Amino acid sequence: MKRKTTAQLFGSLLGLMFLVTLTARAQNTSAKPDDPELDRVQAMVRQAKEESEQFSKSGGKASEPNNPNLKWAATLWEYRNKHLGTPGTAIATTEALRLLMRADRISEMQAKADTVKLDEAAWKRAIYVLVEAAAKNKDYNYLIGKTRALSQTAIDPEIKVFAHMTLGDAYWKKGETEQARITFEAIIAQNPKTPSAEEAEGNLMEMELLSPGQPAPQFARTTIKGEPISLGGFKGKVVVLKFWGTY
Amino acid sequence: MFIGISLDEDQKKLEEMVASKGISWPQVRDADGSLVKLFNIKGTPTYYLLDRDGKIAEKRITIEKLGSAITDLLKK
Repeated sequence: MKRKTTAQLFGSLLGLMFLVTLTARAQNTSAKPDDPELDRVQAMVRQAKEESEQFSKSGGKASEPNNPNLKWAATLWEYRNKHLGTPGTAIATTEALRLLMRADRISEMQAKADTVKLDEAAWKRAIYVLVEAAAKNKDYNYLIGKTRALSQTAIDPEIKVFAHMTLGDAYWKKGETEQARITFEAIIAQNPKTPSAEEAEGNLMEMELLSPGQPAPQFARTTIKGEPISLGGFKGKVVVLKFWGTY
Repeated sequence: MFIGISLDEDQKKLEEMVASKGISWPQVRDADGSLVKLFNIKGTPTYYLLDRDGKIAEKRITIEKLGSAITDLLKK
């Protein structure tokens, strides 16, 4: 049996999600009208994106007070406060945080994120915003604190394990490899035989064997032209391995 | 030295792409996913840069930084 790789699986998963979204939308139109509130939020997000692009095209700096991101973050947050617990709210919440982050208002973004309850659906996407903020500022402490709390308290199991994995990654990026190791081991123990466990195992292996300075794992294969190739044959040469796909 | 490791399922599609783009460096199709696993690849494209001793110099380096990193290594 052919085993799919994680990356391929990820690709198929994206495709599947797209299909599911399409199907869901199609069902929505036939069974009941679309969610007008969701459309309203998405229209606001699109408008914010357009204005933000215009602003940076005309030379505006992210941190300037007239960055339209700030106005739209406030509008989306106001929407959130008036409509709790809807699909539109989850998007409004995430996008408001994202706009603040992109306008370099990190502490304001974090203060707002702290008012989002740990059981809210918004975290499914909002975790990505915190990841981007941490990478941008090379400061993983807030991300670590929040994902640790989410991995313990979130109700949605998908959010819970994603937060747990993100916690491990954050420790790893921060250089706290022992904490990262403990976290990945906990993921494996709590989610045996799942794709999450497999991902955590891959990360543990990478931490141990694939750090800069370590010898690259050896392999011998056949090229698509039928010629044998092995990494050992390139001693004395600088080698680039490019993992890619035509898809 | 460039080595392409493709995650494609369809060998023909890969061969066509390699031919149409005139890619001259060797291509391996990782049909069973073993290389993806060996290098813990999570998405594409991902680059690993190895020095003259076969040691990992950089991993998950961006294409923007790849050129200067190669130049630095070639000087050594």
